[in-house]
Amino acid sequence: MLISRRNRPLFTEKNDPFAKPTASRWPHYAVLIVVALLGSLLCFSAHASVSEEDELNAGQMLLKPIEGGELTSALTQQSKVHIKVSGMVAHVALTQSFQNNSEQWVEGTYVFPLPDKAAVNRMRMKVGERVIEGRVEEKQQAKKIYHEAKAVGKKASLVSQQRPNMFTSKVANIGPGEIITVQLDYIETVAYDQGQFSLRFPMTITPRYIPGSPLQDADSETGAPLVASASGWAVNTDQVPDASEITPFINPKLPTPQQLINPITVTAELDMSMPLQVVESAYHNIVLSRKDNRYQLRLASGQVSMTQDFSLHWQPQSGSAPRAALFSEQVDGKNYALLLMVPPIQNSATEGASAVLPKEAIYIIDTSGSMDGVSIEQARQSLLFALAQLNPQDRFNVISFSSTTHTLFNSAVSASAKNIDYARRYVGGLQSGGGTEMLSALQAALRDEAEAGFVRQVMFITDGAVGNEEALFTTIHRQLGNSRLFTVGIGSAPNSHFMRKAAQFGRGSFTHIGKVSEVQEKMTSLFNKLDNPIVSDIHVNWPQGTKVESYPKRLPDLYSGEPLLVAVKITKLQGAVSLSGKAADRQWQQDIQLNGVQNHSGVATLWAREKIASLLDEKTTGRPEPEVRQAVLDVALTHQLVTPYTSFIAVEQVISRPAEEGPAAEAVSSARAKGQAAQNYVYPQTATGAQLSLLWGVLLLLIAAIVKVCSPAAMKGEQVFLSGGVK
Amino acid sequence: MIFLTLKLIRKAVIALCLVAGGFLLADSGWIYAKAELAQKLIEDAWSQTLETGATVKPWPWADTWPVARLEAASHDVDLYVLQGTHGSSLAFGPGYLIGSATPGDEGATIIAGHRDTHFRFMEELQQGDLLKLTDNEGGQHHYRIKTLAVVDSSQQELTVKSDEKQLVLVTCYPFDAINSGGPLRYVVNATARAPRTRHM
Repeated sequence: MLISRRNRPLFTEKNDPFAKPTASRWPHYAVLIVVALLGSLLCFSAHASVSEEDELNAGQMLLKPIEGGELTSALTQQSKVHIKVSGMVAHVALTQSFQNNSEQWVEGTYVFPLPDKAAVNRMRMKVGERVIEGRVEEKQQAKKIYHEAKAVGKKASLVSQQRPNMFTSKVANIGPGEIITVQLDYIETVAYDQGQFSLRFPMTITPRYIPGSPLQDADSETGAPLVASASGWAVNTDQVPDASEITPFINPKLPTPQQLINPITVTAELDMSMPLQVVESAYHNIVLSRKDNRYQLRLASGQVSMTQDFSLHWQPQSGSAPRAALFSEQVDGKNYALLLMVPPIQNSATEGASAVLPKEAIYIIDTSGSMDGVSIEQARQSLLFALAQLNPQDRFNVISFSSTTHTLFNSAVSASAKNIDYARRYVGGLQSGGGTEMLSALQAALRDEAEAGFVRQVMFITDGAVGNEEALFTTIHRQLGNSRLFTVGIGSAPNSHFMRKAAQFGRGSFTHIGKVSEVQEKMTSLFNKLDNPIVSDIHVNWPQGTKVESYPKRLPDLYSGEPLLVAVKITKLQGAVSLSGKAADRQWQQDIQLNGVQNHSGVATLWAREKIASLLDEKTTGRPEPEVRQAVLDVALTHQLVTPYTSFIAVEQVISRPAEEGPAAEAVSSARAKGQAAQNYVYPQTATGAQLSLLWGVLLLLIAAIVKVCSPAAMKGEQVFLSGGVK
Repeated sequence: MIFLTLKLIRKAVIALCLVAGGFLLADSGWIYAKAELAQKLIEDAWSQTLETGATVKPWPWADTWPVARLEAASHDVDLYVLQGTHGSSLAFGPGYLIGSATPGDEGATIIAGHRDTHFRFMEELQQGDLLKLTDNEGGQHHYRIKTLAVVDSSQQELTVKSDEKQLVLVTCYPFDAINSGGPLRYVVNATARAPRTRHM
């Protein structure tokens, strides 16, 4: 502005815009040019600094420096898990021992996975022979108690939940050479599907991709600690505000049989009150023994590294597979029950085939960096299998994503031999690498509606290694339309919480594939579900005169072979419950007697866990968080459960650490998921501002010099022109 | 009136430019000087580390310490590598990325440095060049450069295959960019050449 106003009178005065400036005036122009340059540079750099900050933060590696940290691990962890299955309920005791190998006092942090439906209801801390019972407190309160204990030198442990399937153990003041053990007890329901029982114990965490821009507290200049925990490799972002707490370091070493990483022993006991036909572990060798109808098993090698989920499945002898079961428990005068029922529907292939509509199948395949190694191969094989199942009247599309989303066809195309062949070649050539920007892929898949007469099925093949699960669930919930979403969990340590919940909000089902040889069997079973009629409109009618609170609140549709599982709190267990539903236009109804059910420990806890899960789902579907929080707190404190809002805390009353020796922070790193080829790190920020400072410095001095040198002559000229302009 | 005001403005501009310019020059000078001088101070801490095997801070208030020594003889490079890649360690030397393989161990060891100070030499690295890393016990490890690549850090995380022993050097790109904080990185991968030798 300033410049143009000065320029104009200059030209009008002379009435000759093309007249050359005289030599004596050139310094004046120089000043103008420099000022203009400076102005534009300032504008440019102000603009640049906005985007620059984002970029700078996106690639930063910011860590809390570990005080005096040794290069060898000062803290090691080993686990022991004992699983006891009785009927549909599994009681699991997990023991984590933290050993301090250093000569100073340490505080240990260990981020570990648990099954996504685990109800953690007991914690004990063992110091030598002493056992300190933990109690559930509100999360912030528990944290406060823990920090106070840590500060004064008491031994303390804190177990909190980061995700339904990810927890953190913190143990304060482990003395030199000392071992402190944390024992967690949890209860979960056993999965039952297509006549087979199964259970999964997750071992490690596949590094999660963290989308979003870093939060403001990220300070690169000072390198100051910007995360409270400093146990994670990622920086908190707007999309994942707790990123640093869910990204434990991965041990850079690969385990060997001589040197295990996070060693664990696994033992289990199955009591189904019936003879079993099959007991199998999918990824670990086991030794099995039997006494009557009780089966006991342990790992063949005793201990293994925690690199791959432990997956166990068992099957009753043919004919004895249960169609319905009821378990109950009385706690504080209240009755709780767990009801399992397989709808009485014949799944004959011929009957199913007549009812099946042509489908529009959308396949999403995750090709991000975390899939590198065996996972991408499993994903490719699964997708190729799915393509082979398409009928000519079907329509389909393939979407692949990592940092960006790529859609094979603009919209779904007919499943002609030519199109399928094209897709097969595309899938065969997919390589893994890059980020996991899942949202845009999901949106691309859910954007379109199926044409009339088509059933729309979205199949999502991924390891679920993302940190922004809730945002994704919300998107699925809002944009699902009439599509159904099926998740296929890939790899040695997939995010099961993501698989289950995405399928739940997507009104589909989920399956896990942990090795290439499982692709055939698992995908066949999934397609069997897709091609058979759905059981819908399910109603449960409790006996008249009883008051009930049952979960899930809204009963899902069931796919072929899936049972209905309902947890209920009921005033009295009398009479019969009546279940009804519809499948392939046929009504069915079944009654189950409630009287005379045997007492079964753990049912009340499972009911509470179901209630909490249901409340947390309401957050995704729009209920305000403070309300959800209060409701969850009520249940969690009554039933002593770990939730996003409650943690377990145990404090020893004795002060053991000398005041002058502050504890050093040590994090236990996770073992790398088996077969995962690549490891992810955040790029450090690797340039100083020196060059920019230098440039600006020189420029400013230059300006000072020019202004100084050109002044007398130029200023005279200036005055003449300006006064001329004023006249 | 106008003349007077302009004169005042002129003086103010000169003073302002001088002060600001001087400050900025000093700032950039300080960054370069710090980068150079610190390496000399670290030398002492490093030799103590080799002797005692303990971590030794180069100055009492430091929040980092030397963990390895990196040499590229053909480029006349000899640097002490510090623990961590946070701003306050990279100012004084290249930093070892915590969480990556311990220097000299199996797996991928990642070292990052500023493109305009310690890691300026990365510009000249070529395929086949040799790098030498000395660990904190004096063990020497040799690596040969296999790949050099420019990547966009806003699009992907730093992903390395960790099955083999390798050294990964990371710096910002382009080398002569004026602004710091751009998304591009220059990544050099070198694989281990010979089994580790030890001399104590």
